[in-house]
Amino acid sequence: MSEAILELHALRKSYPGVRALHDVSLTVHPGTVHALVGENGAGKSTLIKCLAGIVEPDTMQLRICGCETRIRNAADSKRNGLAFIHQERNLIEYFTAPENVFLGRSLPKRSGFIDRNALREQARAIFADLDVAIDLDEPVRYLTTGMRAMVAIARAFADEASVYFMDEPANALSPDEKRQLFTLVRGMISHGRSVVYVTHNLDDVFSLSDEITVLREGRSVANVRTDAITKKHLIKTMIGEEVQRNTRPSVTARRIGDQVLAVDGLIGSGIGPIDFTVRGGEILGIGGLVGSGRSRLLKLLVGAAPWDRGSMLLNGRPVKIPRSPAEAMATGIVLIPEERRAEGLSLRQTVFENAILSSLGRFSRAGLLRAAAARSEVQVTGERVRLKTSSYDAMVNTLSGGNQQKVLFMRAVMAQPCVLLLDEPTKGVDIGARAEIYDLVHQAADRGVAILIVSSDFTEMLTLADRFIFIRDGRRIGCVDNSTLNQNDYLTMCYQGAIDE
Amino acid sequence: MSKAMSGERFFRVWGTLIGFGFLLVFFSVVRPDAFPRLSNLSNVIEQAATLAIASSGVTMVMIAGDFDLSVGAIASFVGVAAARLMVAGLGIVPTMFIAIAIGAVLGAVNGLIIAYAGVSPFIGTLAAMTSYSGLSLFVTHGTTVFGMPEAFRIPGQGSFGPIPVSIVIMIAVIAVTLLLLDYTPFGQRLYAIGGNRTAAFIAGIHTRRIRFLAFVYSGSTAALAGIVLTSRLFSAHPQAGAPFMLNTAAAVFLGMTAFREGQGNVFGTLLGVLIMGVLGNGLNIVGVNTYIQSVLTGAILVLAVLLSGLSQRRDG
Repeated sequence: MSEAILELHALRKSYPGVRALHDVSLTVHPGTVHALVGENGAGKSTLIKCLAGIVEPDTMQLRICGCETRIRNAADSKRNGLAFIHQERNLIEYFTAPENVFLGRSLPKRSGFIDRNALREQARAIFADLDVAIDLDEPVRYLTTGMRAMVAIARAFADEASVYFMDEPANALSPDEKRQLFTLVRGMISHGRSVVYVTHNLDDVFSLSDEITVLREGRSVANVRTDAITKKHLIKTMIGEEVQRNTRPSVTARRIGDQVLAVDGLIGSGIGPIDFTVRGGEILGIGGLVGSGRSRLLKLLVGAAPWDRGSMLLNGRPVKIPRSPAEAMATGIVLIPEERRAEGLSLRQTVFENAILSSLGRFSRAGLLRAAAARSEVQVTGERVRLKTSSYDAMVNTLSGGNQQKVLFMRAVMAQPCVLLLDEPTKGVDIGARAEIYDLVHQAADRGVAILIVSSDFTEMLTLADRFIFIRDGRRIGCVDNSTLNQNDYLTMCYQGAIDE
Repeated sequence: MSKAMSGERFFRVWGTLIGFGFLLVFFSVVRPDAFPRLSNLSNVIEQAATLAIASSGVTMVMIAGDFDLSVGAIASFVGVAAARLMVAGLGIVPTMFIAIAIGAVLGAVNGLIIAYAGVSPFIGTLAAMTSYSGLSLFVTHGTTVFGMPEAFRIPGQGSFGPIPVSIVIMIAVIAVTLLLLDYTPFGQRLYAIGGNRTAAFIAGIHTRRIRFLAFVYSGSTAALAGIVLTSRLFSAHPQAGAPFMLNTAAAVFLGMTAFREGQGNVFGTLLGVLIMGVLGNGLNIVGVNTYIQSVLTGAILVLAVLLSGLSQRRDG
């Protein structure tokens, strides 16, 4: 292989109390696709942020085309020929593909005015170079998600960088769109550019990449040619050899009751078909990788995303498919969403006001709010979840992340659900509060609530769940009991839906 | 540190009220002979009554994060419609009921367009305003309606003992709005929708229904304001309510800078109405040109918003 275009060594980065990157190396050759893989928290995004000049590393030795260089800010990064294609693609919806490609760049002009024909022609040449057929005259808002991704990438390509970093670019793309994306990536490398491709999808790694770097716990643990490794071996390298024991308490006093929720043939919003059942007092983990559709499944179950097909049995009786969270809540299905600040809390309101939001109906008599009854129940519930707040009239945004999450728990518990859906219940929550939240989940299960949980933290999943279903690309790929599962098996299930291959 | 913060917070919550006190003192010092007299001050409040009534409904709409530019057009239309009905011989009491029902229906149309069809509230109510104004002109052929029965003077000009009826109506509307906002689940839901619409939706609130109802309420209070205004002028002009469009929004915005940080509230709105009333009256007495008064009102609105920290919602 030819001289490396990018050589990174001894990259270290610590945050207060955490070492994010211990010792990372990355070597990228020109005209290749380099896959960067690793578990959540392995350090992929910190690595990329260091190269993008967003995060300042503690140490970093970097050579670009053999020359020593430094990156202190985003401008340094750009000058060194590094380009970053983000998932939130910054396109102007009402502009056409050529207009988007030339955004912020000098436009071709004729006697002082924009030369639209030249603009279109130059953009056409760029897309032709990349072997992508695209509509050049429609505003990009009428293009498919995949096509819009192409436009964003073409824009970066026109910047003439030498190494492109793509973070899960295939998320939310259809199989056809994904093929087009791959064509485009191959087009880029045929022009001598390099692509660092970050993904959880190992099938994509094997069909697209030339080399692989594996990160594990902040270290680069392997750098191999893709054709020199098997998928099974790669998974092992990502997870590490030492298999942690299942940390879940072996004996649970909890009694699992009758079936509470059964979902049959659910299809909608890019998900499905999915079937599952969950019993009272049971905690069902929904396993899968980031972007596999787990959160969307929960949104569907509360009617926050539309169903195309499917049916639902609640406590043995068929129920109408919910069309809004309000309808779902009326039947007893309640979601605690992942994005606490964006989808959970009304931040400029008090703890009390946030806590009672889902049970206002119970606290109303003749159209008036029974404030005293609501207050005493908030008080009792607050004590039960051990909420730490100066007062129930404190603004909820003055609370810590863990306590904000507890406020959402209070709201959900006060809605008296029979099915509780938890999406990343400990995201951004410190370790102490995390244990308390696990306790709350168990408390709810002990009271006979059926619980569905989604978490990217596999230790959390193994600690909490009694049973798992696994999802990939919106489809159910497997199902397994927790009692026999270790960490290795869990991740293998996430990646391929079966433990033995 | 925390002391400094609480000082800042104190200013954000009470600053506008202090500013209002400042205005009162200023005009009293400059014109001690005219401004602080009881007759003048009660005149200020009486003139502010219609604005306060119309602004109560707008407060509700704006708490949910929406906007209502059509209240002026609704007030005007209800005024001319009621006047025509009375001139045609319909009794005062049935006319009142019909008038308020018209306001509620027009508000419901706004609500359908905005909450259910998803049109942005700015464009939706701007379009509604245009249509409702057209209706008023059509009904009156662009002229002023006269000849209502004498008893119709009561809502705008009558009084219970020393207290003008318009003020009684204003107090009643404020009381009902306060009740709805602070003492019902409806009010809690409204504030939650304004605080974070997605979160409110996920928390199981019928966000469309609640926003729709706020528009219905706003249409109804606009209608009531239109009746009181028509009674006070004792004539119905198809453009009489037009100043409500901007003044209600200004009053609610001023009110958002007071008492309840960054959120609409009834007392804040009342304060906003009074600030604008006192400003207009005081500047008149001092002898400032009417057109310059508008310039100053705009400047004070910007100043209040800047000082209250409402402007801190910026991107990047």
